[in-house]
This record gives sequence, structure tokens and C-alpha cells, in this order.
Amino acid sequence: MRTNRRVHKKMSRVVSHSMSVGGVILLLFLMVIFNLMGTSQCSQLMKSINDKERQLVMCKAELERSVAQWESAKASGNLERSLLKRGMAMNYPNPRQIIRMDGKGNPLPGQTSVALLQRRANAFRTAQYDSSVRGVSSRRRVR
Amino acid sequence: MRVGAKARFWIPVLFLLGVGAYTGYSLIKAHFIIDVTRIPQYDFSESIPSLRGGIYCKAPGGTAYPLVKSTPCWEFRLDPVAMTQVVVRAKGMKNPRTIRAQAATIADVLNLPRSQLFDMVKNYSARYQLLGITDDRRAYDILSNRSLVGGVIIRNTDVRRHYEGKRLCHVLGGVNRERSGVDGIESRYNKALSGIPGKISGKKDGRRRVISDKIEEKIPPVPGSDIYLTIDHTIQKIAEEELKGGVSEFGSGAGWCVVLDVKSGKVLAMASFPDYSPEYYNKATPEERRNRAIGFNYEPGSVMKVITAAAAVDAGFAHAGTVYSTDRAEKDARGEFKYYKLPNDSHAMGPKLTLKDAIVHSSNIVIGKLGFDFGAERLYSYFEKFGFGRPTGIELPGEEGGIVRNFHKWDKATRSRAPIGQGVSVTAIQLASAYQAIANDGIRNVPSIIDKIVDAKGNDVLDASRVKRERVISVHAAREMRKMMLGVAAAGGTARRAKLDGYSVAGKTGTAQKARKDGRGYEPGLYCATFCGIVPSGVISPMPGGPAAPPEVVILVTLDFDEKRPFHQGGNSAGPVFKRIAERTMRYLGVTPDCPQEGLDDLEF
Repeated sequence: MRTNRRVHKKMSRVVSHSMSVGGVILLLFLMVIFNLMGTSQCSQLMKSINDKERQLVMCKAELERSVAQWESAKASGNLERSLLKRGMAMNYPNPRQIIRMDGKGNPLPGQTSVALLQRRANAFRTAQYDSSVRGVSSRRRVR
Repeated sequence: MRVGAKARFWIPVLFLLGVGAYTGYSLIKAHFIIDVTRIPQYDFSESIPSLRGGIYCKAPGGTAYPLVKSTPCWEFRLDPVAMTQVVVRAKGMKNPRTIRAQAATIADVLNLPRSQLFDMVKNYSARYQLLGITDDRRAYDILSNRSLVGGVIIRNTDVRRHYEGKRLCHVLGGVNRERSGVDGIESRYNKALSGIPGKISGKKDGRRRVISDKIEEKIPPVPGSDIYLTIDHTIQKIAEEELKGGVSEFGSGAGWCVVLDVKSGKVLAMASFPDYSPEYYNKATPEERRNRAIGFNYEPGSVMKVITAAAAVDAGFAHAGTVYSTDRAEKDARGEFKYYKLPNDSHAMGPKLTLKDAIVHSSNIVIGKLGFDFGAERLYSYFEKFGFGRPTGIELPGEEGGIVRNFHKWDKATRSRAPIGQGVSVTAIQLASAYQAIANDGIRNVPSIIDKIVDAKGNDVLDASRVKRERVISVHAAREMRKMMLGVAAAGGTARRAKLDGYSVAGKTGTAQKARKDGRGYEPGLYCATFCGIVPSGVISPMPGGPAAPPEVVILVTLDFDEKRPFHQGGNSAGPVFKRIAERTMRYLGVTPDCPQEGLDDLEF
């Protein structure tokens, strides 16, 4: 069966038109789909970021609380109370109990503790001298 | 065939148009129709509070010791009406929990009496009753669990926690309910401590929850700066303990103490009694809140004699060996009294005294004569140089400046009384700062209590130019004065009880009568007893022929007697307190004794 040339021409024009319109609509459709997918991904990411931010704030607050509890526990008043409960107390040593030494291990001059030791040493030497000269033992003398 | 061709065209076109229309409708529905009609939304704009900065002091090893910090907490409130409306059912349980059981849980978790909770849940007229504020995570977990309790409203908040209780309360100050500083450092540096609040705006849903993807603006808060004080925690502890002990031992109504670092003028300790708990600032009385170390003007008494003598020595007007007559009624060539209303000495002296002996025995007559002869104008200028008559500029609110009238207004009595500390008023910090100048070879540093202010980024934002120092007297005059003061806390001096074991002390006592409230004369029997000392004195060498041990600290102790007490003199009351503070401080600082042989006589071998 022969086809009318005019009809054929018209049909081919319609087909080409429909292809271009269809293409445009398909493009629009795809854009809409991608937009939707992107939006949904964005909102998901936003939610997860917000969750993480909330967690971060909570963790920071928790850290602050823990640090505060630790600092409160090691406050000097609390420490002293804890020590007292166990029958202990802390104090800085008396100068008579401290001997400061130089790098070679010799005691630095001008210390009460050193003067005290020197006086003891002198007393010991005197006692030795007494015992050697007089023949009397300091121990015996004490008795 | 024709139909088939049209169909091939229109079917996909219509299908695609349908899909496009549906998608468009969905988008419009999602963005406009649902938002507006179905889910109620509210615009909101809130500020996010910033966490207030902390205040720290120095601890051994150069570390920072926290004194005050804000801690995030939860505030729990009870809504009895909501409690009746919400059904609380534990997992796996058939029956809901009774209100009584819920109340018992709340009471146990928050350590409240159960009877109190039972009364609270019955009180329907009072909604949002405060249950408590805590940072206990366990309490939060239980009270936020809707299968255990209902009707509990939880709000994030923060509390200002003072780790050391009353310690340093007058310096730190307190905050009010709006978290704004009302006294002390909290008030002076309120802006720096507060930080910058953040901001959030957007939409909330019907349950007042923020819709995360509808947040329009979110600016995070900037936390407040941390303030680091020059206060040494251990020395502050020593000062407070010993001052409190001294106040109760000698029966004074109040007392205050200042410890300054000699080289820098930094405040190492500042204590005042009576004290208060800064966490309950609003419950403290004005007398308890008063920082007497900076905010109380009082007549200093004989401690001022050192300043008069230092001025005379610096000007070349006198020296340690200058001899003065102790005759009170000395007359001039015309046969008239040379000195007007010269104060009498409290104890007998010889007919003549050197300036050094006048300091050691605290002679009113000699120092009065010296000041009178030295001249009001010159003496006033030295008072100004030493910082009297104006606030020192320490970084604390409420500092008084003392009262030193201009020399033009000095009458005859003031000319002989001001040199011995009568007719002038000073603050403890002024006095300690003046002694710091003598200890620091004549250079006075403006006392400071702030070491650094560190912002959220870790930068020190404190103005370094605020540190001021000026020469007040010459090096020679300062050393001469310290030598003269050496005999005060020694056998024969007025403060024998302030003598330290192993360390030399250059100090001076002061027993000042308290002025009457009507301004006419003095209250009989009421005194302010003061001892101010420099340890070590800086004039004695620990080794023969070696350099003198440098002065480390200036300690001022004042006991304010508001009743007649037997030990009201500076040497008998403030002196021993000074001694205890100085001994413990020297031990803590590890200062090598400059008089090691002293104090050995009492030892048993």
C-alpha cells in the first residue's frame, strides 16, 4: 500500500517534535529526581551533623562534669579530711630536717640542720676526748 | 496505522507529564502544604548561654589550682499535674507505675526525704517545683527515663562551684542568680568571665523541639576567659588558717593579712576575717563581705614610724645613729615648747635614744620630734611616694584610698602625730606595699593580684602595661631601714614573740587606738594591733663574708579588737600570728635560713 507523501512528511515531523519534547520532559524529570535525591541526602547529612553536634556538646559537658568532680575530690580540704580519717596529716618539713646539698653532695653552708649536726659532732668529739684523756667512758659517766 | 503513530507519541508524553505533575505536586506539598497546614511550626530565636570562665591560683610546681569554675548541671523540676496525666509503665510490666512509686524513685535519686516528695506531688497548685540541681549523671539517666518517672522537667544549666569553700572569698566574690558577678574578681572582670553568648534561630515543632533542617542561624557561644591569680594556694591556706587561729586566740573581732612578693609586688595571699561562703553570697552580712585588706581605712599606729624614718634617712635628714632626746617638754631658745602635743611613750626610755633604738623600742617622742623637724611638706611628699592617700590600683573593686590630708591642712598636732601613724588612715595593702618598697631596695611595685587572663583561644589578654614600678627611696636608705628594723623582732624589741627560728625579720609593730565613731578622740581600750615584717631581712648573710640573703616576702597582720583584751599590742598578738605565717611560708618556699645558728639553744642534745 502506497503511503501519501504529505502524510509521511507530517508524521516524520510529529515524531521528531515528540522526540524533542519527550527529551526535554525526560531531562526535567531527571533533574527533579536528582534534586529530590540531593535534598534527601542533604537533610540526612544535616540530621547526622546535628546529632553529632549534640553528642559533642553532651560529651563536652560530661567532660566538664568529670573534671569538676575530680577537681572537687582533690581539693585540699577534701584531701585533708580523707587523710585525717585515716589518722594522717601533711606538713612541710622543719628547716632542721632539711639538708640542701650541692652537685657534689656536700651540704650547703648556712643551714640549721647542718649547724645542728656539727654541734652533735662536736659534742661526740668532746666525749671521745674526755674518755681518752681521763680514761672515763662517756657511757660509764652517763650511768 | 495513523492511530498507532499518534499513540506512540501521546502515551509517553502523557506518562511523563503525569510523572512531572506528581513530582511537582509532591514538592509543593512538601514545602508548603504540609508545613503550613499539618505540622504546627513556630519561629524562635534564642541565645545560647556561654560557660563562665574559671578563676585559678598558683599551686606548687607552677601549676594552676582551680578555685572557682562553672560546671554544666541539670536542673530538675516537678510538674505534679503532668505527673498525673502521663502513664509511666516500666518495660515488660503490665501495670503502670503509681505516682507514689515515682515520687519515691525521685526522692531516692536526689537524696530528698520521701515525705517531702509525697507532699510535692499532691500540691497541684504549684507547678514546676524545684527538685534540685545536680551534675550526677546517674540521676539524669533515671529521671529522664520516661518508663521510670514522669512529670519531671529537666533543664540544662550550670552552677558556680567553689572548690575551696570559704577560701579567698573576699577576693573571689560571688555571682547572683543571673550569673553576673557581684563582688571581688567576679564583679571586676565580669565581662571577661562571662564570655559571649551564642544565638540560634529557626523553627520549632509543636512539641517545642528544634527542627534540625529548619535552623536558620546558629552562632556557637564563646566561653568566658579564665583568670589566673598571683595568689599562691599554699600561702593563702597558711595565712587564712593562722589568721583565723589568731583571731580566736586573742579574741579580736576581726583580722586581716596580706602577703606580698618582694621582687614583683604580687599578692601571694590576702585573707580577711570574718569570712563567708561565696556560694551563698546573698546570705552573708555586709560585715562578712567586707574585704578589710583593701576596703578598710584605719589608723596604722607605730608601723608608720618606719615610713617617717625612711623619709628622713632618704633625705639625709637623719641616720641610724642620730641621737634624740626623749624629753617631751623640750623648749626652744625663746623658752617656749618646741613641739606641740607630742605623744607620750607607753614605756620608759632612757634620756637619749638613737633613731635605731627609737624604731626598736617604738618611741613616740623621738619619731614625733623627727617628723616635726623634718617638715610637713617633705613628709607628706614621701607619704605620697609610698602610695598613701590614694588607692594602690590593685585589680579589686571596693578599694579604699586611705585618708592623708594635704600638708597645708595639717595643724600643729598632726605634724607631730602623723609621723607616728595618728591622724592618718591607711589600708593594709597600702602599708604592705610601702614595706615592699623598703624590702625591694627602694623600688615600689604597684601591688597586683591578676597574673594573666586567658581567653577561649588561649591568648593572654591582660594589659601588660599596667605593671608599674617607681623608686621611692634610695638603696642605701632602704638597707639602712631594714637594719634598724632588725632589732624589733629580737630580744629587747617590741615584738620578741615575732622572732623566727633560723630567719632574720625586719619588721615593726603598731598598736593604734581606734577612733571614736563621732570623730572626737579615741575609744578607750580598743586597738588595731599590727605587725608588718620582711622575711628574710635582706641584711644578714647566711655565710660569713657572703652576700645577704635577699628578702622574699612582706607579711602584714592586723587584729582589730572591738573589746578590751589583755594582749592587744601588736607585738603580743599580731606578732605571733606573723611568726606562724612566716615560718610556714619560709618552709613552703624552701628559703635557706639566713640565721642558722639562732634557735639552736633551745634544742636538746
